[in-house]
Amino acid sequence: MTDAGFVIAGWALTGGALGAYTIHLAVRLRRARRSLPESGAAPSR
Amino acid sequence: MRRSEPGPERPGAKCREREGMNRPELLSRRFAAMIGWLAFASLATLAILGLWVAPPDAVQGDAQRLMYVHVPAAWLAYLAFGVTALASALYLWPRTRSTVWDRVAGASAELGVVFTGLTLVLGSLWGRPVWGTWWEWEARLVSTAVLFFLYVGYLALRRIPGPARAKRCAIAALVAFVDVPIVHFSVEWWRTLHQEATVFNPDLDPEIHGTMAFTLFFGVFAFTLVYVYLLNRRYMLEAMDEGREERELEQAIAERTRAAELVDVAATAASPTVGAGARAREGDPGMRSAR
Amino acid sequence: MALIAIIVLVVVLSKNVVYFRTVSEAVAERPSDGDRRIRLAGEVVPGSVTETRNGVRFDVTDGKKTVEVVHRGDPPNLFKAGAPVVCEGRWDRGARFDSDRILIKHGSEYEPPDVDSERASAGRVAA
Repeated sequence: MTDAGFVIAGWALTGGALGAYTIHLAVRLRRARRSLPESGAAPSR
Repeated sequence: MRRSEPGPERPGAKCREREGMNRPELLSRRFAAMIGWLAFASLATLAILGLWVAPPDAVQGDAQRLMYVHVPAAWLAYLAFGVTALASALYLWPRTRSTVWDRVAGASAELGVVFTGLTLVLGSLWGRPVWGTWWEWEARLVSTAVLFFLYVGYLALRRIPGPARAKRCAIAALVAFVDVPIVHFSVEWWRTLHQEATVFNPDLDPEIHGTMAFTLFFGVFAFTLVYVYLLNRRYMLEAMDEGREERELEQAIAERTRAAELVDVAATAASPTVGAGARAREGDPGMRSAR
Repeated sequence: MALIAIIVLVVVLSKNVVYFRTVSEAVAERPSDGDRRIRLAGEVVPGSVTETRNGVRFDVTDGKKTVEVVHRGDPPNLFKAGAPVVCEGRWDRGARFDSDRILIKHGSEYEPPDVDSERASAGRVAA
């Protein structure tokens, strides 16, 4: 691999890791939010 | 459990829930969204600066462009673990003790682990073309790997429930933080393959040229925005999960109480107080006080 | 537990990891090292690099002592005259150092090529 290859791999990995973690958090947040009404946190009036 | 709660008490219960959630987020929704977009935009700008605008290094050539992500990742790992340590100290100090600090500590530690992992992998990718090796058993690299595993351990410890969970974790966070200065000064204290600090060197005289320095500091700025955005998100999740755990616990207690009451009802079925048992099953205030 | 781990780490690192020796140290400790595998750090002496059939041969210096290194294999990309290197290998029976692994220990300064050419030529001699 050339120098440029390592650089591209590193930067892509940075974007990929931060992006993946952001999405991972979003998915978990949505799941946590969805479980709120089920357990009655927002009771229907 | 809430479903079985009597009508008149509902508003109060909701209020209590809010208090239990106790700051569900660190930043207002609007501000968080703004930080998020700003973080994204500055990462994109960093890519342009780091990959095109900044000149290649005299010695390392293009491979040095990995510095603009490796170093900010490492500094943000320090910062994240620093925030964890600070929040843990604030939790341990009785006058400032609050679940908020416990959550901040946990959220920041997870981000620190992400940044440390990134630092290690990026360092490896930088080391291969420049040093000629992916990994060496030398002080900077090993102490950084130790940092990673220390905080993975801390995160595991957070998942173990118990009455003194938060306290125990706060102490662990303070102990783990000892490794942060070890990592930073490892290049001064021991002989390493890793170069010494460029910016925070003992003379505090940054050895980096204009555009490159600007790009590096811009990288730190961009990564800090990413950190702030993600910290808020992770905190929200922590608060929600906590709320859910509490509710699940309440639910379990409610179920057990109800089962006990059913037994009660069965036992008193033959007695003249049948009416009272039936009322409890309907879930009127009497049931709550019974608990 | 974590505290013990850290203490052990510090002790092990400070005792065990002398990651490399300078050329002078290596020369001084040569009798006791025998043919043990060691790491030798110094700068490649300009003009001393010659290609051999299966590698390179060059002199490495720390400013005080100079040692001839015979390396088997391809040196890394950044290997050149004046480069700071860490050579892994052992002393042969003569005064030469047989290396089969070269790592580059680059500095912590970063600058574009044009700035470097003015300063480095002057700076390296001093270093």
